Amino acid sequence: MCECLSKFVMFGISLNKLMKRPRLCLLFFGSLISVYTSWAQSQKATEGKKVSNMDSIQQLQEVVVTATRSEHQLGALPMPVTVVSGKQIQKMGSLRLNDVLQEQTGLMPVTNHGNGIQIQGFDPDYTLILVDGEPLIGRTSGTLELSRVAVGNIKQIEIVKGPASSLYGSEALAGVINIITEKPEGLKGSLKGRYGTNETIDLTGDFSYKYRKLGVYAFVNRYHTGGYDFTPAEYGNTVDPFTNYTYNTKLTYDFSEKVKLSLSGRYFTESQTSASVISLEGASDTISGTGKVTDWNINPTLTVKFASRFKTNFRLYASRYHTSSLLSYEKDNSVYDETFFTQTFLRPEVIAEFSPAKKQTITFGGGGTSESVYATRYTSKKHFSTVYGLSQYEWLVNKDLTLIAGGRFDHHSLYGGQISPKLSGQYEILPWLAFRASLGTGFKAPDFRQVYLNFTNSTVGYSVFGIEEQKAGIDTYEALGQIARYLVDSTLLNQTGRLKAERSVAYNAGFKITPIPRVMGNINFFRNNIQNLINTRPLAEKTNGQYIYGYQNISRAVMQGIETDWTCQLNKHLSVSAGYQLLYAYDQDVLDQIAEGKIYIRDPKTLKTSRMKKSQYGGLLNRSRHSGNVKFFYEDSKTGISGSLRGIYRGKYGLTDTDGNGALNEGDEYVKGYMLWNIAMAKTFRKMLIVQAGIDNLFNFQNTAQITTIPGRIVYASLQFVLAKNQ
Amino acid sequence: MKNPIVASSLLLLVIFSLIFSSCNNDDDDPTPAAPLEATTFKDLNATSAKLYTFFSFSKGDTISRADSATNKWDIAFMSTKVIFNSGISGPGNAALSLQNGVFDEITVVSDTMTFKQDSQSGLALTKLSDKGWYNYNGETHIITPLPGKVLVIRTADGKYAKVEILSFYKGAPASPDATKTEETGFYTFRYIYQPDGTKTLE
Repeated sequence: MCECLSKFVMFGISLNKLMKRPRLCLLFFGSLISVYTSWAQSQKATEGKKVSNMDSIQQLQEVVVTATRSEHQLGALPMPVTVVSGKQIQKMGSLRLNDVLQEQTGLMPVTNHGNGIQIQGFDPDYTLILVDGEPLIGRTSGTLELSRVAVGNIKQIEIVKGPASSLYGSEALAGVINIITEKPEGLKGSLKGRYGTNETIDLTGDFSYKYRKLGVYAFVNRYHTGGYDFTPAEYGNTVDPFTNYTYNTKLTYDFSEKVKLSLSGRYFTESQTSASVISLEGASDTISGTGKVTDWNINPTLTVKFASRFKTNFRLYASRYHTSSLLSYEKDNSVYDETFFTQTFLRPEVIAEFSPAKKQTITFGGGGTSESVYATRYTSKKHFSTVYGLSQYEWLVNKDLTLIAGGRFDHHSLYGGQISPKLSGQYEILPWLAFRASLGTGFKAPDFRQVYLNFTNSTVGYSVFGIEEQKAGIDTYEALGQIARYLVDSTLLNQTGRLKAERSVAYNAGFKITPIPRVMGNINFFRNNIQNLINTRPLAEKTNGQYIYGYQNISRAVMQGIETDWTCQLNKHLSVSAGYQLLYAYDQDVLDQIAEGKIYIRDPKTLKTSRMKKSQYGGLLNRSRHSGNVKFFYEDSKTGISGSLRGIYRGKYGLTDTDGNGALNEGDEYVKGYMLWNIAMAKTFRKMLIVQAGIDNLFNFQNTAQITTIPGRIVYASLQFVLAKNQ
Repeated sequence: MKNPIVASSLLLLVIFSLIFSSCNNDDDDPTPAAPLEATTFKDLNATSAKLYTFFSFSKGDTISRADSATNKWDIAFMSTKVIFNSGISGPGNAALSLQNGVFDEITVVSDTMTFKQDSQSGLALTKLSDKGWYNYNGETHIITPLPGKVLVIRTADGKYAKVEILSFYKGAPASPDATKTEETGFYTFRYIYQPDGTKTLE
């Protein structure tokens, strides 16, 4: 009996327990049976022959750069890394980065001022998003809108879980997602058009050319969606229509074998119209307007190989992000709200890779960052600067043991120094079984908002101040006689610049397993202890009954769990994979209060109040204890048919603390678990024409009351001409 | 002991003498404290947006609005607003000490409890969500009494009571429906009133 299948069935059953819909179960088992049949057939076909471990090995040999900042084979890395190839993205029929990421194990889509992703239970604020190693900027309330990123020019996406501040500094607390874009290669180009539900039109063109020393790559994308509306009776849409354009170019020039230059640039622009109803003291008005987002970045990189064992990367990265929005009253066109936000980022960096001996590699380097923000909600243009140095030592002790030790020092203009060490190792116990573990720290420096925000909501009347602004802000209201009472003592009110960076210590340990040919899997246990989390806190009550909020280091959290992924190459054409994550995410202060008997819970039926037990605590909001996926990928180069079927499960998660007791518990509002099925099929004609059709959310799952980001079934078809190809 | 009859007689004798002596002890106490029973008052109608509904602990019921300027009431409700017969709200000497705890476990008014009255600078019990007695959910619009909040109350005439608000909806349903406005604004609460003027609340 095939071990791969039995393992898969195990996962299937555990997944199935979580699925409530009978037809989904039927489909699931139906697919299992067909998988088994095809497996059995392929077993017969290969009987007597030596089955190679080709595909698994191929996957382990994929070269990734994010985890160590130097090129490594996936299989050699002692930390959890997921790679999603461009080919796979194509077979999924995805258009935007959030579509791709939310199908990966342990990556949960969350919405807070944009579409972000949770990793190991962390909010989107704590994951660094890189394009070719350089960070995307422009977060709103901590979330970087992932739909800003088109996927048509992606070679592969590398997802490193666990803190990577030892290499990347601030923000890399939960992990790093690095998008590796295409490089100039051969002579090829393509044009693609796609149309789908909700008037979604995607047009993509790309061109790649490499001639001797010169390489050129260009990518253009236009994406438009008509949005959708869950509440047609009410004025305004759930998602308003928007259109965006992405331009990306890359020029490479090899001066010699030893000196190579690359210059890449990206420009993105989006505009969205919106209309909604606002109600103020009984009277309601309709407002409408336009919001615009533009961002660009430019990245020249010079790679110099001074000697065969000494390579240096000189990099410069500049980026600007700008948004503006104007909302007017429809009745008289007078301005309701006008805002803008401008952020800039500049970073020179030198990273060197040196091998003092055959089995040792030292990576070291340093750089500086200069950032600024100028926006409606800030009193003036604000600056941050950071200088940093990093080093990493990698040692292949023997053929079974790899050790990597590294660290980074960041000096922030306002918050002083941060040291982020990380130690990881991998030991091959048996040829098919490797143990790996890592211990690292991560940090996130206070952002502009937490330091310099100066915002008073003119309609409701509350105020939020960054730590540098809060004293002046409170003094202003005090002088106006608008402070009713203070809620914290004066030492806290007078402090400036006392926010500490948010910090975590993370432990990751697990196994990589290739038990039988064509099957590979991994299991990873993780625990993150997070301290100094920055939250808003009411500092004073105004005479209008509203509050003045400030930012303080007030919470601690624990995120722990297990993540596991399995892939099985069933035959030449068909592969199946399954993934699962178990997550326990707790507020440490709530745990302490439960232990002290200070949190109460009322039975909604008997109305009896008692002290909450730890077992009754549901953890942090928005975290699913169980999540998983099962995916089938098919490719037949002879017939030109390829496709995929993916089932993505997200278990129930807490939405609001309905009883207001400060902790999530049964009886509070939960979002029920759900499963989404996405299918896509493509056929290539004469290597020139690719026709693709697919359905996202096959069974039209909707939860309009609680989830506004799942629009229901999306049907689409696309046509792609591959203009030329160098084979 | 060999004889079971003698043995059991001796045992009975011991038991009787124990009962007898304990009865004697009881007789030494001048006032045997009968344990106070908690009372649940259901569906106090506080639906009016303009007029308070007044409640007296000694009466164990609501009283007429005509008596609002007297000492006859202790606590009054109007939608989510709760006032006490004191300061700006009435002529009495009522006051509130909002405690975190389990209703049954708060058995005495301790000296560490600080009492607040309704005054110009603010009501003894704030009407704001999460700061006073309830949580307001902005999405579902449901008002939920915060578990673990016990209102230790000095009545208008200086006696003591404790109150736990259980529901804001008619019939105290397990999952209230905020869209049924006609069933919103009905207080169900559990209370113990100590009529003898002591600080014991059990």
